Amino acid sequence: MSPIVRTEGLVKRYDGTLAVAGVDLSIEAGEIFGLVGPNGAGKTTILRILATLLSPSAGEAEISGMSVTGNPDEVRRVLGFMPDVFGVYDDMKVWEYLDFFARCYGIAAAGRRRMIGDLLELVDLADKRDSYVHTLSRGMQQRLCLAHALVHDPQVLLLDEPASGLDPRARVELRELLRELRVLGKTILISSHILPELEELCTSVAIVDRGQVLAQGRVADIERRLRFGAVLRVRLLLEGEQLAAARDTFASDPDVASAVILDDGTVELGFRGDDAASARLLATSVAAGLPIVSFSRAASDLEELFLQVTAPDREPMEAA
Amino acid sequence: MTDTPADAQIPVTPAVSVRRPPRALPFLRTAGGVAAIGAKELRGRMRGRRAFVIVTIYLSLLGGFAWMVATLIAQSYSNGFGGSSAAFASAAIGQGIFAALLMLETLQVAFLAPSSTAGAISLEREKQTLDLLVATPITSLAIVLGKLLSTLVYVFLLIAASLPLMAIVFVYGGVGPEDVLRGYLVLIATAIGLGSFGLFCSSIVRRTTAATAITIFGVLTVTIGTIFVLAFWAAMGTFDNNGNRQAGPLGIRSPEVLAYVNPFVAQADVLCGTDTNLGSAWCSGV
Repeated sequence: MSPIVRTEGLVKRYDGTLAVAGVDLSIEAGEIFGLVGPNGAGKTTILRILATLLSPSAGEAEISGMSVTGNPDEVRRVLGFMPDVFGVYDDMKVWEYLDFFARCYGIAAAGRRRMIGDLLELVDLADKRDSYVHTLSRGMQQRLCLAHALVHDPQVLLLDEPASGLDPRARVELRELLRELRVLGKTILISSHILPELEELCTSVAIVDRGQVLAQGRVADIERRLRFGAVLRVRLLLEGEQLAAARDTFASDPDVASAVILDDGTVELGFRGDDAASARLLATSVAAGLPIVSFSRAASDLEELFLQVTAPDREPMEAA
Repeated sequence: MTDTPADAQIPVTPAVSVRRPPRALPFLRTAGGVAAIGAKELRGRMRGRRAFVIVTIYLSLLGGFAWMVATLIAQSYSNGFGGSSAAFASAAIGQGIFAALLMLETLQVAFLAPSSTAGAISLEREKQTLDLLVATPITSLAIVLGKLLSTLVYVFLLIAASLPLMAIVFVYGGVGPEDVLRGYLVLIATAIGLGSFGLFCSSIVRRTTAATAITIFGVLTVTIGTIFVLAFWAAMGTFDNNGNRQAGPLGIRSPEVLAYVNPFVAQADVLCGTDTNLGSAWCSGV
């Protein structure tokens, strides 16, 4: 199956600064694809090129087989774009806002009314239909902006930091909404800094730094490929010398690279092994009589991956 | 809503709550875009009582001004300045009201139209709504035309609202319907021309404040600046023995093209075309 979003050797320069340095992406239809990277990594530039708002300095980008530079009008008809920072028209009601964008896409009057009702239901703003846009909360405005990107029923959604500035509840609602959109058949390309949420939401990710894709694919696949270690945290019912002895016991395991007692009494292990090795470590520790209260990874897989591949002193890595 | 693991196989169904619109011809697409932008802008501008209150105040001021002009001219005739013919006095009052209203409306249009359009594009940038608009299939031409026309519609509304007031001049005489028509055509041309200039400034300058300042400076240049240059040229010019005007200070003829872009000169030309003229010497200068 050919990818619905594809970039090849995408480059963007701004006055001598290389914002995107040869990015190759391949996203299959129906995926929720996460773009992960630190500030200034080039995520927004990639999304703006795909949204036809920027021209690449070199390389190709295609959506649904159409070039974003050669056929921008047609590309705009199959994608919906939600920028990271967006404003709202002060003097418009919620339904008028959607009606305006539907008109921009040439949707006939008969279809607009029904579509606006459906979209407001989808983003849970039906009761705000006649409210002025500027009176909505930030989370509601985010959902309305997402609804605006859906007025023409696009195949692909480009969402740039859609959860930024939202409170936890609004983030959960947005995440559920994106899942619902995936069920509805949309391909979603989303950039975010909130890694645990992306990990839970995305089918695939690309880790971007300094304009390059450092790793791409399913989180589990990338983890396997890179074979990086993990940070384990172990809490024990021990104190003082007994705790130090337990730390030494962990440190003697061949897969444990380091063992440190934190201020709160937790033992933090730098662990080289995989999931099976960590299960073995837990079993042997319990068998050795260590009173373990909890045994867990310090961060999510994606966070660890992210920190691993975007470390300032990282080795040059072949883009996946 | 239910939790769905990211990797789970989800049955993909067509989402559609709307039918995808058929592709329109380029002209129809642009027209549709203009209509979309126009409807949005007018909806905001005409919402509530604000627009109608402004029209009411505008007409009240215009009516009061016309009454004052009529009273002043009538007073001057009753004091014996300007002749004793009642018919001539009536025509003079009509022409006076016509000239006063037309110049006042030109002043209003010359500043209102460009200052309204000066923020049309730059405000979209400042409010960060331009990206949302540009990411739609709407053409740049449709955005520009939609912004221009929706702004001008309000200016045209003010112009049209003044028509019944202007009809007072027919009661006094001295002004024909064709004069009024010519005057209003100049008003419309002024609104379109200077409104387009404001929109141009708005699209090339990022900040609305700067765009408005440049626009107003441009309008002042076109109105006061051109008259000043022409007056300067006339003052520095010399006449030969036969009374014919010679070349100006730079050794070339007066740059008459400057007068072509000045809406007040155009309206003066309209006024000089009325039945009895506003002083032949002044009109010959125009």
